[in-house]
This record gives sequence, structure tokens and C-alpha cells, in this order.
Amino acid sequence: MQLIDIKLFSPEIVLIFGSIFILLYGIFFNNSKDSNKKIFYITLISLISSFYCSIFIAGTNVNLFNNLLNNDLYTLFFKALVISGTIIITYISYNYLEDLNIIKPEFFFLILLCLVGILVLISSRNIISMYLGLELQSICLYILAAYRKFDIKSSESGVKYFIIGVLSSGILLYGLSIIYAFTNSTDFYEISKSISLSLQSNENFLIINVGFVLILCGLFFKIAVVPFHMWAPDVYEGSPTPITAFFTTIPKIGAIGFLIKFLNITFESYSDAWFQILYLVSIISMILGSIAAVNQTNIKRLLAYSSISHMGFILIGIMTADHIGIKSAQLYIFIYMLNVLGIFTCILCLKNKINGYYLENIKSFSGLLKKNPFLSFSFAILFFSLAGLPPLSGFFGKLYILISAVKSELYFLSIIAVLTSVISAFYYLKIIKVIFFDKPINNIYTNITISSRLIIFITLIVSIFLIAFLSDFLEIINTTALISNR
Amino acid sequence: MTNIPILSLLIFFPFIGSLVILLINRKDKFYDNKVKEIGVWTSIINFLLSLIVFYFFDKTDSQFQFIEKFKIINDLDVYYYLGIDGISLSFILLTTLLIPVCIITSWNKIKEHISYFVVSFLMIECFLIGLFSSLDLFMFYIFFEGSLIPLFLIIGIWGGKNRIYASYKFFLFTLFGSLLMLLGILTLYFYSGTSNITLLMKTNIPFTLQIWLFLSFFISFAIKIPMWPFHTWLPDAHVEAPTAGSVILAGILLKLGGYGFLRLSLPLFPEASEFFTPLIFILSLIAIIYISLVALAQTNIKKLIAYSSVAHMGFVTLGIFSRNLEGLQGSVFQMISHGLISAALFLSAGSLIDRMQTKNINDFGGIWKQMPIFSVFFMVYCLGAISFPGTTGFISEFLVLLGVFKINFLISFIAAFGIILSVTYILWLYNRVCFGDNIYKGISDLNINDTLIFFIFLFLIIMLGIYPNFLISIYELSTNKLIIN
Repeated sequence: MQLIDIKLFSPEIVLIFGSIFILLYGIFFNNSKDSNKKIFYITLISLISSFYCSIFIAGTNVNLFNNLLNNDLYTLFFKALVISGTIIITYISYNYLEDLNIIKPEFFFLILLCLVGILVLISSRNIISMYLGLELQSICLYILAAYRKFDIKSSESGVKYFIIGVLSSGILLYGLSIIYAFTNSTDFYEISKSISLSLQSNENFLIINVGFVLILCGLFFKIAVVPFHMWAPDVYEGSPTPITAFFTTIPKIGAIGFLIKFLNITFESYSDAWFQILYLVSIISMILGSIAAVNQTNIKRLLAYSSISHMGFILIGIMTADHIGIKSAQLYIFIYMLNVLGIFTCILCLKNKINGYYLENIKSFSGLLKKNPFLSFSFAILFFSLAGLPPLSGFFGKLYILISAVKSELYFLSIIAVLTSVISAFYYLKIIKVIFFDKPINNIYTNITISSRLIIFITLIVSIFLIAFLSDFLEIINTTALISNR
Repeated sequence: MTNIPILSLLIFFPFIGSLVILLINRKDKFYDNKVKEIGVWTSIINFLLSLIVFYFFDKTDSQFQFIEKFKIINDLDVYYYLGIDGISLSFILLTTLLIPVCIITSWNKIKEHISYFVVSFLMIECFLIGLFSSLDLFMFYIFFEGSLIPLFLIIGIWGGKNRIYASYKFFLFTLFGSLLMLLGILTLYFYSGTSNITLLMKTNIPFTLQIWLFLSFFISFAIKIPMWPFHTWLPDAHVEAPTAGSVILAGILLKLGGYGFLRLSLPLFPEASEFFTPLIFILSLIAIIYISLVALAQTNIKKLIAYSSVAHMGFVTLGIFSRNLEGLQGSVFQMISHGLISAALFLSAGSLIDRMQTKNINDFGGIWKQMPIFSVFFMVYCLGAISFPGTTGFISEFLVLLGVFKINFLISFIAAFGIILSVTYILWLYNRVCFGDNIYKGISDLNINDTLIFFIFLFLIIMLGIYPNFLISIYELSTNKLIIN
């Protein structure tokens, strides 16, 4: 290990130090009244400085810690995305936690540590570092899901997520060990070489297949696509709402970023096999995600199913495995993240007037238009955008995914994608209908802080005006697109 | 004149107006009035702008004019590419005329959320003008689908009892169609490497691909026009929509389908259009005859007018796919004329419904005694709807029948029956509404505002009926060009 590695690893180091500092601060200065506020600010500062480090200090095209990790522009894109997403989530969670009186230093500690895991996962180029990152992230998430420990649903979701997560990690680890056994290496590039060699000589073909499928299963658990999605709706519903926002975006972005890299580098020569797997998974995710969401009454469950179908969409971009496909997946996930976080920010502004609970049932949103036009229109624009209506941003995500599909002549898949987006438009409209058209029940109490107003405003601006600077943004993605060694 | 981006101005002026409306202080005492005034003046200024475009438009040039072109998406070669020919100009004029009418007629009727109502209409105007002037497929698509959102909100928020069902049906039908069109657009784009409509017109596409592409575009446009059997969303949407929503829906949004056929289907897929002509003729004839009979059985006044729209749109598709000069000119004329007449009919129906609080035709009666001025206007609109000589309806249906006659005598013969049927249901409607026993007492006639608007429609319907060349000369060269290609 050299000193320069520390500089290159700076985003993660900042976060680790921040989290440890928060933990110590929480132990020693727990009594003072505004300590939580201070911890919140420390979290934000460490997130922002980590963001700064990842862009300006960490450098690109470098390997560190003996090729355990690898920074390039591609990982930079995903790192910047997850860190900025976490900043938004930290912002919106503060009010929620304070309101429910469950604010504790551990929350921010876990969020930061989880983010470290995701960052390591994204930049890993070795089986060891990948598993390390994945587990660090998962363990933090198990605790976060059960963070409201006196709430029975939250505990349930924590346990459920723990069991499923451990199972999937086990499957993943088994797959990794098989791959290691037959390639004698933990480095992605070397694995890739020996796999293509064994493909040519037709040796060990079957056993590598098994290992590969097991690894994919493990990763599919993490991004919750059908048939590995069962945990998602329950866990999303039970977790505290900011954590649900975290679940729907950040770990998925990390896993998607890793998946693209992993498939295109390590199993590059295997593309025929994973193309078929992704094809099937993507189709059933889109269909099940959109059909199952139609009858949901809880908005968190609905967003869980809708995120399943969005992941199916992103898999289309990944499976084409060409430049435009990966680019479209990157664009899509960026737009998806902003829209979903905007929606969660809006949801966190709504409370029941009588008992002060946060509203989760879609029916209870009725008549919001009269109460708060700003929130209702933000909801409408963000949901229309998620449904993929032009000229909002979601349309361009869908457009690029469909472009990559049509370019690779996946006509059947693109027709399925179109049909499922009509179905998903239906349930997004259902929410808009409740907000705009239904008679008010007068139980809504809206509490919009300045910070949430700011976040909603940013997401709205991006949703509406992305068309104007789409070209520049695509330029950024272009430079960060995965440069594989083919 | 060439230096000013007048088309962009025309598109984005309503958008700026709606931004201004959203920025007004909500607690102002005269908030509602301010909103309405800004809305009306924005749309009227936009109308004047479109008249300026009309003034500088060169009728002797068959090329696209007022071109604006710059790249918006680099890696896809997608341009912000605007330009109009005669056909687009006619529709733009119709749009800019109808939007202020819509806002003025709802002046006192819309009480709730007035600012969103006005903003929705201004956004629709923005999308529609953008659609009629875009020469890039992706731009066309964005504007085509973008117009869904405001109308969905208009029907859903300010509509009648069953508005939620109607708005859903409207939205999902059209979304389904337009997403299929998106796939077609993408395939076309990857086949030819460009999304520029003027370049695509010169590209030769193999026949089998043409068939698939034509179908994907056809479903979208057929839902929008709407053709039988895709029409079922229209009556529901019309019945539930507020008056202004019905006006804009019947007046312009239905024409998007016809415009799409003229701008994209015919020039891009000529062989496929020829191949599918028999099918479209049959569907149009079914629309004309069967839907007319359906209209005859209606007791809901808005539903009756909605079904008559479907029947009249049958003439449009007949004319377009007859692919000769008379047919094409007739179909464009029919779209403009129907835009005026159906808008006027829906306005009349709206003012009746406001006064009687019922949509059932059998509940009306003896209106002429109470509302003499209204009855006169309504009579003229009804005459237009049955294509009485001297109104625009006559010119357009005459031209269409002439065009179809050149191709097939029988089709023309059957379509002519449609006119007779339209006479029965429209005159019977007039009879039941205006004559008969005087049921209602103490109903006020049209006020000065309404009279003015009603007079504008009456003037245009009769003026263009007597002097059709005023309109035809605008788009004559453009339709000629369609045939030459």
C-alpha cells in the first residue's frame, strides 16, 4: 500500500472518518439538546466533502490497493450519483426522525457506512473487495430497515430483509467460490481471461455456468427483479419512509453500476448466456411489476412494484451491452433516482391532521389539490415523468432505452416494454386522480420545510427542463461510459 | 421577416404567459380576474401573431417556410426543426382562434382552480402549435403526446359526474396508440438514419417495412381521429369534459390524427398507404353509416354531437386516402370546417346545458321563444353540420365525395347516404331542442360576450362556405405536392 492510495480512496475515507466521529460524538455528547442537529450537519459535511473528493481528488483510470479497487470515469459517475442521492435522503430524513422522536446518531452512522459499502462495491475490481462492499452495505441496511424498533412492521421488514439478504449473500458467495475454484484468481480481468480461455477449449463450461448463474441470482436479489423480488414490497412498506427512499434508489444504483461493469468485464465472453437470462428477467419484471402495482393501496408498496418494473427497463439497456445501451441505462437510472426522490420528499410532507401519522395510504391523499397546489402539481409532474410522458425527463429515459432495444432489433421486448408502460401509466394516473379529482376528506396536514421545498423544486426543474440540456448531459454520460478492454 | 424566430415565438408565448400566471400572488383580491385576463390576452396576442405569420406566408411557395433549425440532441441527430406549409398554417390559425374562445367562454363557468384551467389551455396551445410546425419526428412525437397531460387534467378536474372514467379512457387509449407510434418512429429512425421529415420524404422504404411502420402510425392516428372501431373513448370524453374542453377536443385534437396521416403516413409510406386504402375506406364507411345511426339513437346532446364528429371524421379519412386533388383538399377543408362547426355546436350545447342543467335532449323544448338569438345561431351551425350549401360543410363534403367518386362510384354513393343520415339526426336534434312545447320559463338569451363569439363562428362558417378559395388557396400547393410525391 502506498501513500497515494489514500488520496485515491479519499471519498470513502472521509465517510468512514465521518461515521466514526458521529458514533463517538453520539456517545460522549449525547446529553446536549442540539447534538442531533450537529450530527446531522456533520453527516452533510462529510457527504459533501466526499462528493468533492470523488470528483476532484480521487482521480480516474487508477487502480489502488493492489488492484482491489479501480477508479475510472464510469465509477465516478455512479459514485457521484449515489452520494448526491444520499445527501437528498439525509436532508429529508432529519425532519421525519425528529418528528417521530427516534432521531439517534446511529441512523446517520449507518447511512454513511452503508454508503461506503456501496462506493466500494462500485469501484471494486476484485471478488474480495466486491463482497466486502456488498456485505457492508447489506448489514447496514438490515439495521436501517428495522430502525423503528417499536413499530411491528419495521421489525418485520428488518427480519425479512435480513433472512433474504443473508440467503442471497450466501448464494452469491457460493457462486464466487465456484468461479474462484476454476479460474484460480480473484481479479475480474484475470477471471475474464481464464473464462474466455476455458470457453475456447470447452473445459469446465458447465461448472462456470453454475457459478455465474448463482452470482447473478445474488445480484438480482439486491436489485429486486423478478423472480427475486418477493422481499421488496414488504420491506419497503415496513421500513421508515426515508429508508424506503434509500432502498428504492441508492443500493440499486450501486448494484446496477456494479452489474454493468461485472457483466461487461468479467463475463464479457459469456454475453450470449447472460443476454438470455437478462432478457427473461427483464420481461417478467416489467410485466409483474406493472400488473401487481395496479391494485396496491399503500404508496410505498406501489413504488416498490413500480421500481421492479423500472429495473426491468434498465435491464434492457444493460443486455444490449453496446455503448448506447449502457448509456441509456445510466441516463435512465439518473432520471429514475431524481423522480423517485422527489416523490418521496413530497410524501414526507404529508401528515394526518388528527393523529399526526405520515400518510401512506393512497386514498388519504384525496383532495390535496385544494390543500396544497404546489405539492399536488409536484406529484403530478413527477408521476407523469415516471410514467414517461414527454416533454418530461422520464420520457427521455424511456426513449433511450427503447432506442437501444430497437437498435439491437429486440422488437418483441420493446413491444412488451411499451405495453407495460401503458399499464404503469394507469397506476400513476390513479394517484394523480386521487390528488386532483377526488373530493377532499380534509385530513391532510402539510408540512413543507424549506429544504424539502428546495429538493422538490430541483427535481421539478430537472424533470421539466431536462430536454433543454439533454445534449450536454449525454455528453457527460458519454465521457463516463464504460470503457471495456475489448 | 426571416430573422425573427416567429414560430418559436408562437409556440413559447403561451408558455411564458402560463409562467406569469403561476407567479402571480395567490392572495391577491382580484387573483381570479387577473389570471383570466392574462390568459385571454396571451391567447389573443398569439392569435395576432399567427395572423402576422399568415400575412408573411408565401402562398406561391410549396416549400416549408419560416424554417428554424438547430440541433438539440447531438448523438441522435435530433433537430429542433420548425417549418410550416399551407396545411400546417391552416391548423395553426384554427388553434390560435379556438384557444381564446375556450378561455372566454369559461369566464364565469369555471369557479375552482381557475389558474390551472387557464394554464392547461395555454399549455395545450403551446403543444399543438409545436406539433403543427415541427418537421422532426421526435419533436412531433413529444408535442403529440405532451398534449395529453393538460387535456387529461381538464377532463378530470372540471368534468362532469363520470369524469374519472372518461379521462382514464381518453388517456390510456391515446397513450397506447402513441407509444406504438414511438416504436415505429424508432424503427424508421434506425432504418433511414434521420428523423428529419423532409429528408424522410425522399427515402425509399422497402414495402414490408412500410407495412409495419404504417400500421404502427395508423393505430395511433386512428385512435386520435378517431376511426371506427377505435372511437369509443370519444363520446365518454366529450360528455364529461367541460364545454371548453369539448371545444378544444373536437376542434383541434381530433385533427391531429388527420394531420398525422397527411404529414407522415401518406408521404412516408406511399405504397403501404395504397395497400391499406381498401381497409381504410371500409372503416370510414362504417364510421359514416353506422356511427350516424348510433348518433340518431342518442338522447344526450353532447354524445350526439360527439358521434356526429366521428361520422364527419369518416369523410376526412375517405378524402385523405382517395389520394387525389379533390379528396385531399376536401379532407383538409373538412377538418377546418368541422373544427369550426363542432366547436360552435359544443358551445351551443354548453350554453344550453348551463341554463337547463340537463344534457337529455328530451328535456329541452321550445327554446326559440326564450332564446331567439341563440336559436338562429344554432340553426346555422346545424345547417353547417348537415353540409347545407352556403356553409363550409357543403364545400368539404362535396369535394371529398368528388374525390372518392373518381376512384369508386359505390363508395361515394354509400358515403353520400351519410349526409342524409346527418340531416336526420341533426335536424331532429334541432327540432327537439328549439321547437315543441315551451317547458322552461325565465331563461336569459345569450349575453353580449357569447353573442360575439357565436357571431365569429357564424361569420367564418358562412364566409368560408361562400368563398372557400380563401382557405383553399392557403394549402392548395401543399396538397398538390402530396400528390406529386
